[in-house]
Amino acid sequence: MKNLLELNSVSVRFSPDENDVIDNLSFEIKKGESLGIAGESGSGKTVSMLSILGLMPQAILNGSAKFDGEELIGASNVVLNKIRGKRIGLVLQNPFTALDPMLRIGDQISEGLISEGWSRRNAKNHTINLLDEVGVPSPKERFFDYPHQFSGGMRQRIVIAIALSQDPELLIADEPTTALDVRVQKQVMQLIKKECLDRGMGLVLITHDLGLISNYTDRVLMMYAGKIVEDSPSKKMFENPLHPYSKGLIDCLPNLNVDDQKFLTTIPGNPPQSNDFPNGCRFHPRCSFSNVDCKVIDKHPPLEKYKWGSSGCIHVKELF
Amino acid sequence: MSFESIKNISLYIIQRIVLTIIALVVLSFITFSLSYIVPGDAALVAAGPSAGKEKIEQLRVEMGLNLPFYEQYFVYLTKLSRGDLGKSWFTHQPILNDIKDLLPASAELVFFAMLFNIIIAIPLGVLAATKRDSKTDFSIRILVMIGAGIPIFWLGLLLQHFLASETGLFPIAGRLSFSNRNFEGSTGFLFFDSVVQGEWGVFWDSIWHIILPAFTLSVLFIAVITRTTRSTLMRALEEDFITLARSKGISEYRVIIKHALRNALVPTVTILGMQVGWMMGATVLVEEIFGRPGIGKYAVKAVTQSDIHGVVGVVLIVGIIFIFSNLIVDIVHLFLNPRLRKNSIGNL
Amino acid sequence: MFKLFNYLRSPIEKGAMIFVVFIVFIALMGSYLAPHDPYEANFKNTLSAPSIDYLFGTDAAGRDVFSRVIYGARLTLATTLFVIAIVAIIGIFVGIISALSGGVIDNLLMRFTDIWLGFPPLILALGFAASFGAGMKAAILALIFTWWPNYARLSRALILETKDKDYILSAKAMGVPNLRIIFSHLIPNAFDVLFVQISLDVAAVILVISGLSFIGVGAQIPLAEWGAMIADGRSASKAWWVVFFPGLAILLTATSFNLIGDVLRRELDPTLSKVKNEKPS
Repeated sequence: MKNLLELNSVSVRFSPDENDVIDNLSFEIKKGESLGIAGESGSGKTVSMLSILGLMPQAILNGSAKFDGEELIGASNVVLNKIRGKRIGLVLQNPFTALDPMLRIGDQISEGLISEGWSRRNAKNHTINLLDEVGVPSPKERFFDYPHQFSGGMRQRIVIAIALSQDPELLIADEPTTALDVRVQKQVMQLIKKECLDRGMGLVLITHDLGLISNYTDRVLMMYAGKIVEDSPSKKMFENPLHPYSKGLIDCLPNLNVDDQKFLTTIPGNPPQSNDFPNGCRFHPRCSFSNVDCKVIDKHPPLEKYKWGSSGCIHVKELF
Repeated sequence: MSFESIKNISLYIIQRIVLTIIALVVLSFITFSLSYIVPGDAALVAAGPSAGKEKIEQLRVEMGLNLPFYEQYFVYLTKLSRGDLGKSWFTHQPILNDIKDLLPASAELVFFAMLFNIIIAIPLGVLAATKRDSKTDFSIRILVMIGAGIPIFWLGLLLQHFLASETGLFPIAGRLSFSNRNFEGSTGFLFFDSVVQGEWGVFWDSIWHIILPAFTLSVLFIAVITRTTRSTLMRALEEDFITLARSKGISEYRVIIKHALRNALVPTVTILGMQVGWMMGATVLVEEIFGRPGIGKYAVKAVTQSDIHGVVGVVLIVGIIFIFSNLIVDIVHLFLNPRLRKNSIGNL
Repeated sequence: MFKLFNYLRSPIEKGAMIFVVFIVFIALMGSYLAPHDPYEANFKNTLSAPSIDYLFGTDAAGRDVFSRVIYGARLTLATTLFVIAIVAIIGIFVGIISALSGGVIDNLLMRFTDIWLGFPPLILALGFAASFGAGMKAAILALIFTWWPNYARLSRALILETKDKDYILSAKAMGVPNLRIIFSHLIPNAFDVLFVQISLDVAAVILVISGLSFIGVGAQIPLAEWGAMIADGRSASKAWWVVFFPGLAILLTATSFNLIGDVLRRELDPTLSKVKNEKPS
């Protein structure tokens, strides 16, 4: 099956004299696949996805990112606009700032369609159906309402409706539930999952919440300091992580079943900034399994296939 | 529109109207105080140099000058409500009539200056914001700095010298050419009257005459609005909803104009509204130089003639225009910003 | 504040800073620098073109324009700074009271301030000139009446922003008396931004004062005020130097202060960041 999205050695930096925030990133997503990109804040998860779509104007990109064979990096706005919205939909993190406060939500949803040439009436009808589909009550009336008239959960549904409006093949959801209450989180995630299944859309779920990864994705990329450290099927990763970092994060999850867990496990230290990446393996200073080898290799280890996935740890064979 | 929002809008408007009335009262108090504290004896001046003591006393009683401050103020207010601003000492006309005659000229000037402002400043601001940190942005910012630093009257003199006296591209002074000097309109607004009467010659003549003065007046304000538009637009472009708008694959033009600019214009419109008052105050500078009639010039003449009532009349009228334009801006704000229709009045 | 020099980026901005220092220097040292007495009339040498002796030429009364421009610097800057100082004090006072009282008092004060925000000073100055007589006094009074709301609004916003910050709360928790908090913590931290307003206002006030003098209600001839000089020189259209040089002085001074204000704003106002910070991902 042809890759829907294929990144090859993509690197991103925000200014010519700064370091790469992500460098040499490579992975593929197949049609209909649901991929999770997980990691701590600052790992480069959001930058990787948004910058290749041209949504970070100050970003300087290198490498290749192909969507259905078409190159995105360096592409003109005209080319990108054919893909954005129509073939890739985006759900952002903060529903309180993602919607234009000055425009009615109905207009914001139908905007993409109208720019494609749909008539106002058809766009409106389609929008009302969408609102219904994502679970906004009284869609006909609420078409004319403004964002501030909706709760956070409702606003996020509207954002999802916008992402779905032009019937894309891939949905990118960047921390879609972080700003919401736990109960609402589940509703929104169920909605996303349902839509992807019904429409045969691929999903890229960017999140730091491992629980979401395990429930809603088939495959996961663990990112650390701008690099992918593990690429495995989600279920397998939880049972059997292939990288110390993944293992560390999973161990961090508090376990209600274990009676003798006295202290919360953490990974000591903090993730490094892009101007201060450690030599060798970027994770080694915080890794409980590291040894001298991890420091002296001349760059961060690339992903190597291992068992059911890929790992970026040079000791993977001994450890896992 | 729901009942809730109608109620909120009405409350908002009522609150604004109450504030407007209070402002008008304060304004009248100030203008009255100004005329009250003029040194010298008004009765003496009114009576003339050869009047006897009795006549002066009689006038004093007639003019109500022996009454205490608050009673005089009350008399003043009653006169105002009838539109009686007193009589001008140098035109011997009721001041209100004088001002009514001259107001259209000043208003036209402000209108065209505002027109130049909007047409020039907003596109410049958009250009500077979208081409941020480029050479274009830099040149625009420099132009803005100079525009904000140039004295209006000096600029007027320069333009008049180079574009009118030396080259004859524009007329040197006046509202109309000598040949059209007898044109009489019904409202006093030349542009309106001339069209209504079908006198297209007069119409184009008045346009030719207003370009230089209106432009001179507008330069300072263009600088401010360009700067404002640039910064509000830059701020708007950094918002999340702009990223989302781009992700829909709509044209960048749409993103900037329909989303970013619409949000950015709200504070800009507020400032535009406030500029109306400033402009009315500044017309005098331009009227002086380009020999145009107007209330500014009238006020200056009144000052030199020690006609306190004339000056105070102008202060009052300009103040009223200022206060009302603020009210209008507030109401327009209401329609521009949907959030105001819902929020309770407290956070305004 | 004086790290300002590090922040100047382009040559134009550096030029503006140099000019500001220059004009302040002129204002202070003026009497030693002027080659002639600015008030000395010489009717044998009226309206003469710029020459070595009279760098900017002479005006209709034979006075040296160059010396008058130099004296004008002192007059203009002194008056301007005086007005701004008073206006700032009044405005800050009102702003602090409003911000710290909150509730009804805050509402009332702000409504009152709003009424006068942006009232045209020129017109009010005419009013004062008619009551008190034309002259700098009327101009200054009018400016004070119409300008203070800007500072009230700004200080209130700044105080509101700062007062809930952690270091203030911890000072309170430590029992530091309120007045001390206001003067040692609140004001210094909140009022960095005030310098932006001050710099921009210097430019604006200079323009208003010279405008008032131009129409005859500010400084009166023979005072060497730039605006008055321009009015004086209008009638002699051939003697362009009488009008040109004072106007140029106003232009350069106001523009320089505007530029400095802009630089200050760029450095002090974090909301106008140049590069959007990397999204935490």
